[in-house]
Amino acid sequence: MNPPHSSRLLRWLLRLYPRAHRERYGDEIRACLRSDWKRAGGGMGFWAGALWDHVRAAAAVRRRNHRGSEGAMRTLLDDLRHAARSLRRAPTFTAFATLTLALGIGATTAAFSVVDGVTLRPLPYPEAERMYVVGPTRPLDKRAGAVSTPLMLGLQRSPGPAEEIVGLHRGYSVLSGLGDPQRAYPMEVTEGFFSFFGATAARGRLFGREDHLATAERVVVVSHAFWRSRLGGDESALGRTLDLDDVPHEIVGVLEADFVPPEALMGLDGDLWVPLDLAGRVAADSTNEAMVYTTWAIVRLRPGASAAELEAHASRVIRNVYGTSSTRPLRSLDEGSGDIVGASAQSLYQITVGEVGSVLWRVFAAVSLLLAIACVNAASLLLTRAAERAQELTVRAALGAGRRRLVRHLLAEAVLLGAAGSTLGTLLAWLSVTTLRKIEPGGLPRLGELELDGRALAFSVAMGFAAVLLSGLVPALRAAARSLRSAGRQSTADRGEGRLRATLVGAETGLAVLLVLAAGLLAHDLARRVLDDPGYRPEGLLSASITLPYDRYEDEAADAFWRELVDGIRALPIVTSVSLASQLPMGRDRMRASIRPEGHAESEMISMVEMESSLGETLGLRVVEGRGFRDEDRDGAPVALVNEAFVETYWPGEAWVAGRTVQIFRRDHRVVGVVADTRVEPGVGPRPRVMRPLGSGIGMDGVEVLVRTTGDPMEAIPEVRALVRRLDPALVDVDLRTIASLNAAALARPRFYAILFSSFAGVALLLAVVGAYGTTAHAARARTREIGIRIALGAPRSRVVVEVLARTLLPVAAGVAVGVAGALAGSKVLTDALLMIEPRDAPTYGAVAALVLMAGGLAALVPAARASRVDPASTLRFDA
Amino acid sequence: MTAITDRTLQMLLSLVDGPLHGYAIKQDVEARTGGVVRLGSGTLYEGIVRLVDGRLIQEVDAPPDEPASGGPPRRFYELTSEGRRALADEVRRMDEVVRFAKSRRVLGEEPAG
Repeated sequence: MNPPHSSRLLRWLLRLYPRAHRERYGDEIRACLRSDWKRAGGGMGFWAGALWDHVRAAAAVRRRNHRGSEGAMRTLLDDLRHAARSLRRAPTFTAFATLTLALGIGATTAAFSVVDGVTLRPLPYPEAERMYVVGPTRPLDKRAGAVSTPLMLGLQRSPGPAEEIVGLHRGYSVLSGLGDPQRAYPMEVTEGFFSFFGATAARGRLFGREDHLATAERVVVVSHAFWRSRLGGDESALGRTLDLDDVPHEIVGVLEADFVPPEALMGLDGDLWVPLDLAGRVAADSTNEAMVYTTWAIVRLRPGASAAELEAHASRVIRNVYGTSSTRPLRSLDEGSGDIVGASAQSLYQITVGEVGSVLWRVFAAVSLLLAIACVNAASLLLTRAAERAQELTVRAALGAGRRRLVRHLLAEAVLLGAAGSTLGTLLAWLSVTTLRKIEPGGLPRLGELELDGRALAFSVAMGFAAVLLSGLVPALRAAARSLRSAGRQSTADRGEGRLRATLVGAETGLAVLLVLAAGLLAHDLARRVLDDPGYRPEGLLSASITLPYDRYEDEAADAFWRELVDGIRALPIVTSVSLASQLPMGRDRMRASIRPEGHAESEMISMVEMESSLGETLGLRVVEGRGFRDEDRDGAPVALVNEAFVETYWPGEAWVAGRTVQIFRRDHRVVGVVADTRVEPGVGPRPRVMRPLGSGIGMDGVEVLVRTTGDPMEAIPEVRALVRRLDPALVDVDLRTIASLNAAALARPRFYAILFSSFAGVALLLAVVGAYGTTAHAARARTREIGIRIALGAPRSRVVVEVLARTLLPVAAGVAVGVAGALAGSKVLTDALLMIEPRDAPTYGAVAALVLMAGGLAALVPAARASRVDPASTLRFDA
Repeated sequence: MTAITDRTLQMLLSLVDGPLHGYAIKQDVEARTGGVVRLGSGTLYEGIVRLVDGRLIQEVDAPPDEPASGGPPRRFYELTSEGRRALADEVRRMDEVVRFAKSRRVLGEEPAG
């Protein structure tokens, strides 16, 4: 080895020593080594010997240094080792404190990763922050709507502030060639769509320019999930063909598994992707293409360009394409939203995340409360423990352990608890996030991107650290103060500590009350929704939503189909009645009609259901005024039914409305009765609705077949399905579900929030109870002698119980009061989550306050009762 | 004071005739023991620090007759009175051990006289 190398090696060797030693003897050691090196002639052997020599010497120097002045590292390790030992000696305490912190840290970490994944992180596309959806606005909808094909072409010809524009259209096809024919929604995309979103092919290729030409061979790209589940996940899938509306499409590529399509614009579909040929569409049917607004225009703005510029530009393009004089082509086919009034651009992020962000932040706030409770609880546990170890600490202090040393020791315990809590909490968080992904609560976007990653882990560690500081510092300082205190001042200080403990119990209770109240309100609301009168009898009801294809079903064929189907279903043994309707008379409107109620000047778009007269009986509709439909209504003078919401909206305050008229599509219908409001999601405000008898020639649109069964409607599903298949094996739009399942789906989200908050509240209450219990138990133990003396002097035991109880119940009651006051002040945050009750619902507040007080009382009762059983003789023996 | 290790003893012995610098101590020990006791540069200075800390030796000014080494300035050390006493104690103890061993003829037949 050469001296230049060796000098580096030397420097490195010297680094082994403490700085002081290095600075003092470094030069001499270097000179000495150099002389040795010259004499020995170098070589590996020499350096190996030197290395050994210096490692040993440096270790010796360092050891001696530590022995002298307590090197920081060494004491830290010592402290941790001591702390670990003393924690091992108290397994119950350790388990409690660790679990407490783990629950708090786990919940916050899980909530953080959801908030982070859904709202904080940019969408997983290149330059996603410059992605906007641009489109026309209408009087009733100020959001950017979909564009027509000519508009899309216009925007592409004149991009303005946009760097790139792509289009997405949700197709509507029958997929065949893979088992039974089925309804499919292939995503039709313009050129450059995939590179715009940064998507790449896992197998094969994506679309090129030539694929978008009208003359091109038909090709399809499939999602990774589709390829795996439907195509067997093997290479031979490439080159196979899938039939979309009987047109063969060659499978040319498979998307990467991690590509997340822009779900806000297309729902969770995205299995099949086909090229969109804009120019070809216009050439084929220019009038229709000008009228139909179904394509989403997604742009990436040039750096520095603003959404306002894009909006102004899009307005100009709309005027250029449609002109200003004629508004006719601007009319949307989507009834009710009206003519185009301008253009709007919204960030893709905003559209994707939407309102969920505020909900998630609410959840995050809730779990932060939980973490705060956990910290207060851990602090209170540590305090109790420190108090119980007062003797040990006093002895240690007497032996010369300084105040700093004691604080360090207690902090070391807190650090270990924090580390254990963090580890366990991370595990809990991982479990919750995995579970969350599995149960897919309704309305949470970007679930597919959700994972517990480095950011969440860092967050968890930070939370653990914060928890340690919050929970460890106060008890440590307190304990150190006590251990060094002279005996004479003990009682004053004890009172101070009693106050501190009471404050902790109160704080914990107050925080828990907030969470329990939130959960109570949500659960109460949910219960009210479930119990709310739906206006019909949902149990035993089955609905089959069936759409017949136009081309194969003329009026007569459709009538025949429905007749045969209804007769077939009615013949099933568990079916009592079957009725057809143009749409479900509850839940979301699929159909609205231009209706003018008597006494109103303008027609409005109002939900309308065409129904067979037997539907009232099948559903169990309640007629609140007049009568329901009869068979003869179908052929006689036009009649209609309205619901209660209709009366309230259009004829408010009228006692009797039967006999009035409504104009449906400009034709007068006489109102013969009023039916109760019906809803699939109880509590969601019922809309005004008009019903009229179902005439012939149905089946142009989807039809709902409503079936009332005597038993479990699920049992009828296979038989109804078989019946439909027998009548027409090629039918794809058949959707069978029980009304109960629709109810459950509609309640999924409120139920999810109620369950989520209830579990938070449960944990919070548990922690508060543990805190109250621990504090009472400690106080009772500390006063054992006093209690013993008083019992010996004849104090009744019940009085002792009451006194011990009162000490805990007072801070609990104060906590409840503060918590309730805080909740009242902040009740607004829950307003939009509650439908049936007010955010200041008095019964809920009362019940929660009583519950928490009772829980606190029970928690305190056990140690209080134990204290009263103290044997006076045994306590007095201490004095002997 | 605990028993002195061989290395420490040899280092103290090197300083009996007067102050030496670190490297000279090492050379002296190795020469005197015929290379049986070796002092690596690390062990040497660790030992020096230990002896200084234990007040057995102390740093002194370089003797006036010492030629400049051309290298870094060297520190010289001499035995303290405590060091001399410790050395003497140790040698006396060893002497007793040797005498006892000889009297028991550990080293074989002793010539009479």
